[in-house]
Amino acid sequence: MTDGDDLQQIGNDADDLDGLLGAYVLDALDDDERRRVEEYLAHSPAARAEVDRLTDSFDLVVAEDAPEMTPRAELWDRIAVSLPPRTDRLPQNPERAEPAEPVETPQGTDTTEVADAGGDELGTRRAARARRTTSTTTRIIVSIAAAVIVVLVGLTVVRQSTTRTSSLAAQIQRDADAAANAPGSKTFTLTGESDASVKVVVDASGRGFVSPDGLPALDEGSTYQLWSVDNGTPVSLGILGSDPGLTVVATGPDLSSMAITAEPAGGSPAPTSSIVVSGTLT
Amino acid sequence: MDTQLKDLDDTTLVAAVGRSDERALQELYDRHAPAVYGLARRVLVDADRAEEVVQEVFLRLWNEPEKFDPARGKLRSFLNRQAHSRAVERVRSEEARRRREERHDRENVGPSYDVEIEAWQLIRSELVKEALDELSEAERQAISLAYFGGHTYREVAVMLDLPEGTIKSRIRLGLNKLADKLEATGLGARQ
Repeated sequence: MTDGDDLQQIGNDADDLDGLLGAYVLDALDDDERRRVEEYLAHSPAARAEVDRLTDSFDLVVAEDAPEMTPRAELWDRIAVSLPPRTDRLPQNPERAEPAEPVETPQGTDTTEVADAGGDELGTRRAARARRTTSTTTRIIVSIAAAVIVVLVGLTVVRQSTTRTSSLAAQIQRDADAAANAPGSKTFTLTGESDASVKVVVDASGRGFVSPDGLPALDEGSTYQLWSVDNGTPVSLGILGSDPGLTVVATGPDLSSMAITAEPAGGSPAPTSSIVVSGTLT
Repeated sequence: MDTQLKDLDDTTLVAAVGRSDERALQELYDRHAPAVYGLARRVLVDADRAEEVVQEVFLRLWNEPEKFDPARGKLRSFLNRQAHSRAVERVRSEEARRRREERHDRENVGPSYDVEIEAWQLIRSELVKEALDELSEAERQAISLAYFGGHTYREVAVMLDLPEGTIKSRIRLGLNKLADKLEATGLGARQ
């Protein structure tokens, strides 16, 4: 076969695959064809653009022809109890790895990275999950997760968010950059006895972008935790991990002062250690 | 403080799910489960199986939040695609089972046109109706059987006794007409 024949063959394949793009959007290909189209899409921006365009418009039709319906109320409970405990999951950052044994956490504060402490119902469910016997599958997942952690530590490819959610991390970085330049944003600078300087930019909607600079890494059993301290009573704004990178938290728009403490992994309902850094609106 | 969660956009919440924040997942569930469930019911009809699909979709979001790429579109579309794909898997595996069971009685394994007849009846938006009016009846039928019926284009070709190439073309052409029309009316364009 000559080079010309090869080129013609490639052209024919592309024509064939272009012909499948509509069926691809509708999920109407068999597995082999779908794989071929996906490989093709990875290398053909024009085909990718067509698929995105057809998908966007067809989504509108689907939204109309498959109207929203409310599932039974207990469905969320079924989902919640089926979620693997957080100890089974790959950490965003090896330093944030937690012990493989399920950990009872105080008053449901272990998921307070977006909102503050609270959620007794969730705490109860989570504790129930933690008490469940660890299945073989779970043990395998934990083993794999542990192996991945070792590899990641070995390579020192460590930066929060880039391991699991790189595109999301990129989006958050863009949002943080936008917030830093937005007219309605407020900036807090938190400092302490060390050289650490933590900047928190709160945008007009109350999202806080926490940029820790110089916070020393904690051991695996600990985490930094962000608090608002406006009214004398610290309120958790979220846990940041043991070696935090850029993190987004829901702070609310009306804060005037914040502080960070070091807490046991999973966070605490109230601070248990002295303040590492603190600061007010700058 | 849940009002704060409600104020966060989907991308921020998915990032929080990446940090194992269960309340962020619940907020996303509250926002999107009715659409995901509606689509699963549309394809599967059966409520129990549609709920299984919803459960799988949100469990996957919990396990693999990084699969959502905000640069590629909205979370609702991402979740709907997952739901459709899982619903279709169920339709196809059941059809395969039924075909195996009824192999001796091929003549009775004719296509069901119920899906095609029902499709598009629920659409209220005039703009979407007008866009669908741009399609020929044959294009609407091919798209509907493939998407809501959960059939591959090859199966649709067999059902309609037409060449596969014809069905492929009808689907692609029909979808392009929809996109042209909806974009012309200001809908359909990304972001």
